[in-house]
Amino acid sequence: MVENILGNYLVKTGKITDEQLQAVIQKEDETRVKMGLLAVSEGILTIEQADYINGLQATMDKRFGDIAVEKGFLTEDQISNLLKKQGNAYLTFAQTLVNENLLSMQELENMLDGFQEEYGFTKSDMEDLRSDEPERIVPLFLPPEALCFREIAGVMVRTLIRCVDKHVYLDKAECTDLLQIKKAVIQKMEAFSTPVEGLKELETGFAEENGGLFTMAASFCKADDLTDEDMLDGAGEMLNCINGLYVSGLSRNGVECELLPPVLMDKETELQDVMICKIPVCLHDKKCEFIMIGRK
Amino acid sequence: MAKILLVDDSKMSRKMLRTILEGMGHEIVGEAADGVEGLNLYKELHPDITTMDITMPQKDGIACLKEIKEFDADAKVIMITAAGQSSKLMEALKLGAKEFICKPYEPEQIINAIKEVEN
Repeated sequence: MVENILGNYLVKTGKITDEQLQAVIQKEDETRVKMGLLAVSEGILTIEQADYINGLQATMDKRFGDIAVEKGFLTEDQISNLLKKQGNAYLTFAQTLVNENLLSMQELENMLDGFQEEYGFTKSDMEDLRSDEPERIVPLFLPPEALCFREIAGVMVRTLIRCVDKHVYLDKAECTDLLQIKKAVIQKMEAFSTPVEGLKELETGFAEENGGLFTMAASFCKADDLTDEDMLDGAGEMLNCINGLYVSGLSRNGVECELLPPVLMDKETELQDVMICKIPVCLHDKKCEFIMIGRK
Repeated sequence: MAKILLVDDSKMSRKMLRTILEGMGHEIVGEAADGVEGLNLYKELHPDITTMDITMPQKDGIACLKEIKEFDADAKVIMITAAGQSSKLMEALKLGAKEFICKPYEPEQIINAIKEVEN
């Protein structure tokens, strides 16, 4: 995610073109070995074990390493060594930019300073960003009053990375009490048995912005001939999966709630509530919004 | 090859399941978008296997499973749902569901579950 957040800042500020960014990301993908493959080549996992973990990972909101440890295949130390060997996504990105003569080390530093200033990030925020860990990056893009949504937003990002596009990234979220949407899908999680982050109820949704909802639905459903109705239905199913993973996680911690069927909206609608937060979700050059409505 | 009924309120979800199951050579005998339609189609079509979502309008998958099992105690129903709360899992298994798969799933999970139920 970090390569797209910083890379798109470079494109926006005219330092590189979008084509150059895509080439850098592709190069990075080729360089960076997946955890499963790395563990197999190191001889500490069998192919069957790696496939088993990959299968589980597709249906759970957990990282490869966490599942490997949980299943007793690998130790925390082995995971830590694998992560070192895999390399940090930010460093690989930065190295590729320099190797391809797109930026000098000094220009890279200047870019990071400019980015930090524009986004109002602290030094510690920048470290979180460079970690490339969704759970550390997501809160950076939420306003302080919306931090109660960090868990559900984290599940959303991790699920989209697994099921739609591993290069999905976010932009700064905004809070409002009135939201106008055109094409959207909304799903309600009714009455938590005990409040979660101070919330008794939560609704989430995806709203179309500039083709992002279509891109997401098409990729998730593995179909590109979608009608508007199909697009909303596919986005609703994606949303259902995200919320399902979220409420399943809550139920493992003893919190129960009911998931209602997603509601598809295909005409202009006004959403009015005490706390609505919308976070832009970017899929390459397409965008949609993830909407979170919390009730205390 | 088995005759399969798909019960899921999402048309795209049914389409994805149909692709996997037809790829295995099975016949999709019907599709229902909610529990009411699912029960009616079950009674009419007598499928070998039914895949059942849980979160659906009108009648949810748990209620539909219960009524299908009351109608046909030998019904083979596989729950395929995003609602993976442990309470739902326990309830579905107690009512006689053969398998419980959480969305998002990998096609292999569906293939394995169908083979398991067929055997």
